[in-house]
Amino acid sequence: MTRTLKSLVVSAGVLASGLVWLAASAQTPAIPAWVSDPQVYAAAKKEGAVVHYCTLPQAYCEDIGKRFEKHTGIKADITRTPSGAQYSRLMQEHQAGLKVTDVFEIALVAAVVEMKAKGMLEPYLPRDAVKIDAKHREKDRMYNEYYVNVQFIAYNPKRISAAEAPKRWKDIYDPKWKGKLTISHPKFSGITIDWLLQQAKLTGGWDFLQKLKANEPIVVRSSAEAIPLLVNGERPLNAQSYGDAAWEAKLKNEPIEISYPEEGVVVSHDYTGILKSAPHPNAAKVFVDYLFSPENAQWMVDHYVYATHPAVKPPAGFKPLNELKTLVIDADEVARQTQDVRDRFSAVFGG
Amino acid sequence: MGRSAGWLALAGLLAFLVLYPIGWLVLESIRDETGSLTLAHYRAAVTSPAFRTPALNSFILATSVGLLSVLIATPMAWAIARTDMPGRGLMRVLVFGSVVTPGLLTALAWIILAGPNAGVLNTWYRWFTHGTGGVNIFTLPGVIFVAVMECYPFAFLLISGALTLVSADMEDAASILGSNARRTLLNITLPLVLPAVLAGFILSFLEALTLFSSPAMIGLPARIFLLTTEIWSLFEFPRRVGVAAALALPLLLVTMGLLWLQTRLLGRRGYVTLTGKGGARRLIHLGWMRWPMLSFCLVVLTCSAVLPYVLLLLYATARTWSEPLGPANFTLDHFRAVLFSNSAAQRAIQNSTVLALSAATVASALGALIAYIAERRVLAGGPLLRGLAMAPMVIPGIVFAVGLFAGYTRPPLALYGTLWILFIAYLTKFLPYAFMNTAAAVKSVHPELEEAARIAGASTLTAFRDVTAPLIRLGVLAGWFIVFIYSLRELSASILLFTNKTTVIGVMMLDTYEFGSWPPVSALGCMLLAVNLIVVAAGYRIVGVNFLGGTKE
Repeated sequence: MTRTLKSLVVSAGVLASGLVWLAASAQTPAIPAWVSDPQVYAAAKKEGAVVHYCTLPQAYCEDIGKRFEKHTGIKADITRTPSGAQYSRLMQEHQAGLKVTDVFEIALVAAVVEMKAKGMLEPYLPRDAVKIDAKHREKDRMYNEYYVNVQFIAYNPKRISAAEAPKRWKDIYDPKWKGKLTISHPKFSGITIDWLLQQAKLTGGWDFLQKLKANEPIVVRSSAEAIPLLVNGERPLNAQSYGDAAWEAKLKNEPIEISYPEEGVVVSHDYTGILKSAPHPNAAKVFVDYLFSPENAQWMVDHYVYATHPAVKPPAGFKPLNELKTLVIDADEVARQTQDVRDRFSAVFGG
Repeated sequence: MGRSAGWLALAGLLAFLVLYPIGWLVLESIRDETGSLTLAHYRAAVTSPAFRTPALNSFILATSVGLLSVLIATPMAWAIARTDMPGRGLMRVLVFGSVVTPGLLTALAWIILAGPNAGVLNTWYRWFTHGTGGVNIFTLPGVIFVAVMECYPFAFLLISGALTLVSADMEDAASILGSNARRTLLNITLPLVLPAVLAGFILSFLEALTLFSSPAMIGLPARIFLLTTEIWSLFEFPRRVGVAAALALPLLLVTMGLLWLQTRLLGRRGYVTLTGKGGARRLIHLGWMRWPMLSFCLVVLTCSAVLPYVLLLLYATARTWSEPLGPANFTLDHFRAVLFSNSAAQRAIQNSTVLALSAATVASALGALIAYIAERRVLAGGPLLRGLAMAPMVIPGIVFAVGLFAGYTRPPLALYGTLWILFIAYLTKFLPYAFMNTAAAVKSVHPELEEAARIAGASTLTAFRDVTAPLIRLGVLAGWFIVFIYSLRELSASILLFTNKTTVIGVMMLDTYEFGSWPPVSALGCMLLAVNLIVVAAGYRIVGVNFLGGTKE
């Protein structure tokens, strides 16, 4: 083949593909504003699907998937799993060499740090993640948080008056709450690690565990399990109530009130990242772009989830993250201390 | 030779189903992160003080549940299957209600009823007595109580199945010889159903050992730690699957021990109740004893079925649970959400139904054939087959799932993400129930019936199909229903094996429960009951036999 013929064929090919691209872009809507890289976007559309594990309530997962699909035409296959089960699966898949999952979202800091150490993660920083506070980003871009879990005190106003309710974290150790308190077990609830670490910091040591035990709390597995017990009066005070679960009950006019402790609310990390073994690496990036987008952040806040993106308008009565005094511990420190915190807790409470 | 090839293939299939995932589990228990062999996991399981109390608690729980289940189920089964106690039909319906209630709902109901501060029963009691006393469900007896409510119905099914088959011939003989009703019961009827009673004990004992709901919902909050909750926590960070396997595998020895004990206790005595000579079954007149018996049954069934379902319905239809119930607080939104707007719930109901139907059908067929091989000693190594068929029962679902995951995610068996992996999980996990139910039935059928067929020229397989199978149909059916009911709500193995497309009811229920919402859980529970009811009613129409022992008139 001669040189000219070759270049003719090549340019014809380029022209043809350009025409195909033009035709395609005429049919599909423009690239969404939150997309970081149009080339990645085009590749993502070819991949056509993204597989995501998430810990939000099932209905929220479904909604995210539908919105993402509407914007991009990329199918989002989202499985809702508790953090512990998700971590087990990710490890299991890694061990078996399966390439099935693209994006994870998990409230278990130590697990994320372990995955990073094992080289399981693909670095990525979506465009909008630059706008969020640096404490919600990881320095090597391996995982970032588009929302966090916020823990505060919740009480049943039918059993406890607003005047009587704890105003500071240390108030929950008052013996008058004996038999009225719920807490969560750090062995099962990831966000409890942060909570316990903060309590140790605030009270200057681990003696608070004994005081907590003296109040004979009920120890639940998942923090949200405490809400029905609070609402029906069985345990009117929840020492570590959290975000959307408490708000959902409040919106249904259940008797539940939130007390934001003076020292600040406990923020626990909830990380999102991409796996190195992702079968749809481009769609994974576009999907993470969307999770961090202002649009998704607004939806989250509308549903009382503490999105990290600052450009959100909160619904009435809801204090968003940037209006709250927060207590945050660095993820690496949480990971380092996880085992120690659990051992200390188990030594006092058993299990 | 050609004839026994079929039997051999069956035994081979069973061995593969059970040993393949267990083999992976064994491997998991003896290798470390890097893949080299180690005994560290077993050392941790044995020496770590963290497992000692939970192990002890679990054995206390299992033994109490085993004994109490049999003590409750035996008189109830007798009264309902063999006597003229009034209201037997209603009792059967309520037993059915108890069988299909998932442990999560029973536990939830009893937290609402017997919570120390706001439990409904305690509030009433304090109102009547003006005192402060009451009961506290968050205790070890509380865990045992709820576990018995969950486990006794299975012992009931086994025992009532056996009782229905006892022909009146021997009882008649006893009364002709001057024995009164009580003596006949104690010396004739009860000894005849001893295999079923023992099987009931073993089943509830093993079941209680791997129970998840009441230990997690009542035990853990009260700081009573059990083996199951400890094993679950090994799947949280830092993940220690090797230790979980090392804790679970020795439980296989417990199963083997119990089966061996069963063989020893039953010895060579005959428990044949169904012979070629026929014999009618008549109801026993209870006289004044009818009323105490009826009250006993009513109390038990109120605890295990009536109260949970009343609460479930109230919660499922309440707008808010803190307001008084009434027309203003009534809503069907939770049902609407489950049925129409929540596509995951629809998918879960559909997947679970398909899985339960197929797992139940294959498990009961396989279970029946294996029970036949094992009891009739068609092949050498019957006891071994029995052990194999029972092995999956004692391994907690979440641990078993690790073996299944490792085994069925690599070619040529790459089934992850499909319903197949869940189907195999359910089939293997619930095979013991199908097996146990048919084994009891096979034991009670005299071989002379088959021998007659063999003499007439039939092969073992034909004799089984045409003679024994129709006779043990009740046991097979009971096995079918139990596998169906269990598969419909399976959680502990599914949690590691499901994906978005293959989500199941059990996972949905745990999710909704963990998000602190009781009404949707209750609505899902009602849906579960409905699916069960429809399938059982259909089964009753098609087969003409009710698995609770009643026969269509």
